[in-house]
Amino acid sequence: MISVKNLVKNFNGVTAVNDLSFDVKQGEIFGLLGPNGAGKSTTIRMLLSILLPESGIITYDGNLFENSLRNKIGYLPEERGIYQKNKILDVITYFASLKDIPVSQSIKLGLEWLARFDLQNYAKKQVCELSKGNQQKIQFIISILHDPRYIILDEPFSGLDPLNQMLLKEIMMELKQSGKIIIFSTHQMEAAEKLSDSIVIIDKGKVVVKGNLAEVKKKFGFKTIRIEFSGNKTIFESNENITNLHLYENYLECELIDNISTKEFINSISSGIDIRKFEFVEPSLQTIFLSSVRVVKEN
Amino acid sequence: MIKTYAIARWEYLEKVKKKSFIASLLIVPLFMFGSIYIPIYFSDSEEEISKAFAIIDAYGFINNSLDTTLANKYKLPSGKPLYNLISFNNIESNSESQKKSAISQTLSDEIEGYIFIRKTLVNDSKVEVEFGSKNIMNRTDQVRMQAAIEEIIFANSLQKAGYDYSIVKKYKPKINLSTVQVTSQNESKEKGALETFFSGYILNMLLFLLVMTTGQMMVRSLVEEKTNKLVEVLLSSCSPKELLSGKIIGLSLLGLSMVGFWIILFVAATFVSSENIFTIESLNLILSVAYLVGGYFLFASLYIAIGSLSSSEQDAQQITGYLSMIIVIPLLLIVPVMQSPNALFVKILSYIPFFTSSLMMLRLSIQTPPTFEIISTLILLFASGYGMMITAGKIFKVGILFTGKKPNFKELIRWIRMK
Repeated sequence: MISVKNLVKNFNGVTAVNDLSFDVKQGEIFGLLGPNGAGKSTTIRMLLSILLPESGIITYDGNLFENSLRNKIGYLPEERGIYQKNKILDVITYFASLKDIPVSQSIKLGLEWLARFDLQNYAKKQVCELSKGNQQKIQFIISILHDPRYIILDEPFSGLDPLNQMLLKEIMMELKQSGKIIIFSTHQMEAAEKLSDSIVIIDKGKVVVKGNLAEVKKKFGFKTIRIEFSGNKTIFESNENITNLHLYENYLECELIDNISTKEFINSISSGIDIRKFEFVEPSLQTIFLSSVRVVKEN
Repeated sequence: MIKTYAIARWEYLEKVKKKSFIASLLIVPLFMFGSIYIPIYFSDSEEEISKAFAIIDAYGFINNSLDTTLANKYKLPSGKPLYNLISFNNIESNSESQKKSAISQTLSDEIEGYIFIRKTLVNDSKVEVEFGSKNIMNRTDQVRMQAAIEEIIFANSLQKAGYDYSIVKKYKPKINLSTVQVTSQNESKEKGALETFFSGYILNMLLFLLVMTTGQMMVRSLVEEKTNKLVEVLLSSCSPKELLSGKIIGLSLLGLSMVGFWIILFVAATFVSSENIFTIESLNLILSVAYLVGGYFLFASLYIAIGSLSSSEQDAQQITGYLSMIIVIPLLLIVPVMQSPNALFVKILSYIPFFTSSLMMLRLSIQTPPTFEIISTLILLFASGYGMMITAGKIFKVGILFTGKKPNFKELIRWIRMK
């Protein structure tokens, strides 16, 4: 288990991470979500002990970070780039050697992973001969080749085409099933929703929403209505009975404000539109994200 | 340790294969030998075509003898005389108008120039000779003409006085002046001023080029790793200390390989040319190498600090540009230092760590400085190198993660003070 307790980090008086706590259990995929500049990368850097927190504690299966732990961590940074002028297999074995993997073993593993990503013919080619997306795959291979117990992926899906996103998700699920502890950050709520067991949404360094994904949804779910309609949508914009409105052309998600019954609400909108479908739903993670971040902004 | 080794190995192998490294291996010695030998070669090379000079001889007896004297002494490779003297004595009535036509022919490049031997009324022992040419920088021709004219007039005067010049000539001593550098009671070595100059100069060039080439490579790779965030992946695999020491070891090995290669080339070249331009005593040579290593250590650490501070290659180039000036300053002082290696200003400058190695290497090639100075400057150099490495390590630890705006001085001090 990775356990983060009361993490605080300031940069020149600005609080980047403020009292952040969460636990990630074995065999769990944990989504670290938040808008740009929320403090996700800072948190990840503290997890890797690249940055040190002002206060708070991070433990890995009960132990504090120490040098030998580095061999058990796999990390994919948000910005990508590897040594361009070197041969792909050389780069892979170099990074594996920094995780104390012997060369013979890393060559074998490297070739296996390259084959998995359909890049086996490129092993002896220079990195710069690969497309950007393929270079990203090499970097992913580097982050998991040494079979790390803790896997930390910063925006793993960005820059990949849908096919490769699928492949990556597949591999992440396999890693989860083999009992790894996976933390990943993303902007793609759809991916987070499909993969995560638990999430934390942070904004301006503070926790906004946290917990098991199913529970988070349940918590938001009671009040969320989905309506499919046709007709003049402006009627919803001025309606005072609802909040957290996500209005699309003929579809919307919103929440009823307290003390308003469904009947009262339907009465207030029935003139001028035609309702095709009305249901109480679990909110999508997208909705949860947007509304929770918006709440912070308004406050 | 294993990771440090892995990093050092990678850094070394990656850079040693680079075209820029291989190029500097060859270009640097070519440049150095070129800068030494090309001027010497050209100044010593034999002339290929004969030179025509007009001679206006107011005495009347010099021009013919001068022609034969010069023709016997200086020949072209083909065996023909180098100087072709054309007597202008007969073409005009007086010497001034003869000179005028000589000038006009010189200007139209028909002749190289003229020699105008004026008659003075006072006495025979003072002769006025005018050497006219478009190029008066070529001392060789002037010296040759002067010596030949001197000899002819001297012979003539002797004959007049009743002496036989051919006999007198035998008693004329030939002086062969050699320069000897006094270093100790028992040992003194014959060596020219030029050679002394080159010994110190070569060592300084070596330091400069070593720092410039390998340091530049280091900075470039650091900046690359920084901009693409590879450094984060590295730091998720090893400690900053392992990363830094791996890089320093890799870089030093690179420097050593470079110097090693140059030394082999140099030894080979000395064998081939059988000429020794490197004239330093063995003890002083060992000391010089110590200064070279110390200086390299200091500058390499400084380069690492700079590399970890810069967020773009332009940034890095700008700062390393300034840095290279620090290394060049002692080279500007080369002449005053050679003339007075023990002057107070030289002694004071020798204690400034950035100048220590350059100046001490220069001084060692000229004369051994006092033992006290050698010991104290060496201690100071290595201590400041070590201090610079510790500082660079601290800057590296923070700076390597720092992107975007350049840190100001206050921030830098804070990083250095950080535990």
